[in-house]
Amino acid sequence: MKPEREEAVRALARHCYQCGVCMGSCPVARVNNGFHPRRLVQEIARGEWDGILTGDAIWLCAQCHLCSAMCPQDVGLSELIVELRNIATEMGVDPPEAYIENMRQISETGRLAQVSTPVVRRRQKLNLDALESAAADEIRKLVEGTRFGRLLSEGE
Amino acid sequence: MAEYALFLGCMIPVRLPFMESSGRRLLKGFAIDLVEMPSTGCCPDPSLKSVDEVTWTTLAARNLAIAEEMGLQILTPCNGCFETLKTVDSSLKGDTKLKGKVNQRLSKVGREYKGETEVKHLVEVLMDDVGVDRMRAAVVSPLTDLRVAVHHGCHLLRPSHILDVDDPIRPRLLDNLIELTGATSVPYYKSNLCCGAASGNADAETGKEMVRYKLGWMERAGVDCISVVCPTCFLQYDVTQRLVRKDSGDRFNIPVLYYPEMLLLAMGAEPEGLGLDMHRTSVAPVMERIAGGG
Repeated sequence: MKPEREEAVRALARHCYQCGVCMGSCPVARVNNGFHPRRLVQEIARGEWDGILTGDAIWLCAQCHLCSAMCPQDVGLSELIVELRNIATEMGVDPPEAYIENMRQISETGRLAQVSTPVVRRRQKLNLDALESAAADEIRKLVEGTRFGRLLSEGE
Repeated sequence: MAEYALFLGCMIPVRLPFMESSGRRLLKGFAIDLVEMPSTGCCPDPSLKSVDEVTWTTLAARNLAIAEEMGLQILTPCNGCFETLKTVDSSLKGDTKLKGKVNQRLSKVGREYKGETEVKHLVEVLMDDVGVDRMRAAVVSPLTDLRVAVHHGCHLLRPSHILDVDDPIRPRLLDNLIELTGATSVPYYKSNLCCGAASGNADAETGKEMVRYKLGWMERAGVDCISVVCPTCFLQYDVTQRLVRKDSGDRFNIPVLYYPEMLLLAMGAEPEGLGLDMHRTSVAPVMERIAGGG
């Protein structure tokens, strides 16, 4: 990890005084012991990267941003998690399968979901116009050579 | 007359077309003009910001550039699209270096992001362009005695310094919209917590457990239905609820309605044309309650 990038993340985490409002407001921590936002901020501040970047926990965050809205110190944990996920994938950590599947779907069809026959029928029943195909060709060109593109080709 | 470029996203047209038809019908009824956007793609989904933030930004900027070519502001009926497009628009407007990088990439497909559009959610257009008074005046069959759990959805509200729609912790927007239909917005425990859909991307059980908690709190408050303004929240409450029901001895059976469907019903629309039979959790109890006048 680049030192300046590491320092930017740690600097924000160092504002934390461990009040735990992130933990108390987190809908994920409520149901899954594997996700502990207050402890995660502490680990980030200490630079304990190994467990964080290669572990599953950062991917459990729902990105609901309630912790960031509640935090008295504006640590912005949900945004820090986005940065950590980006750093992890850059280091070669694979995101959960659903992420890859979503990326594949977008680069193949331009959309997150495939137009199925029942949906075509439902659209007709509702008097909606038939769906035009999305711009998958432009999207593929924009994805080519990026990390998004590499993650897809590695999965093949 | 207000006019917008309509950005539908993926989930609504491709999986939940009844949301598209009720949204279109409602806006048309209030003389909001919607212009179709040609060759758009996925917004892209907010989750992909976590995998490759620059590419995510570029693909969103491409969609924004299409609205700019049309000379229009964007209206989207989806919270996920709203968060992605508005967040990217905001970062690009404030970061010329990133804008340059993104435009260099966009030049490969002959497009350019200029920063000339704005992004609005359907409910903002209802509040700002139509207004509470006009909506209330259009209600001819008030949904009296219907007890509703509102779920705003995270990406309508947060991050609030960018989205700036309502209070990010104690929102009232959807409560107000529900109350003008004649229905009652019922307070319930932890109403601002996430539906859990995005955590399901990493671990399906976690996502399911999150919605099970929400359903339990709503049930305890004694609601007749849930009202949402986001297709992902809709899928989580409507479809994932079926899985939760199987695991919990048929305990949960709370109908889910998209807010435009509720307002249309209150405006006297015939339920048959709305595609309510396409919801996976039956809305029959709600229809009986409305028909029976409570």
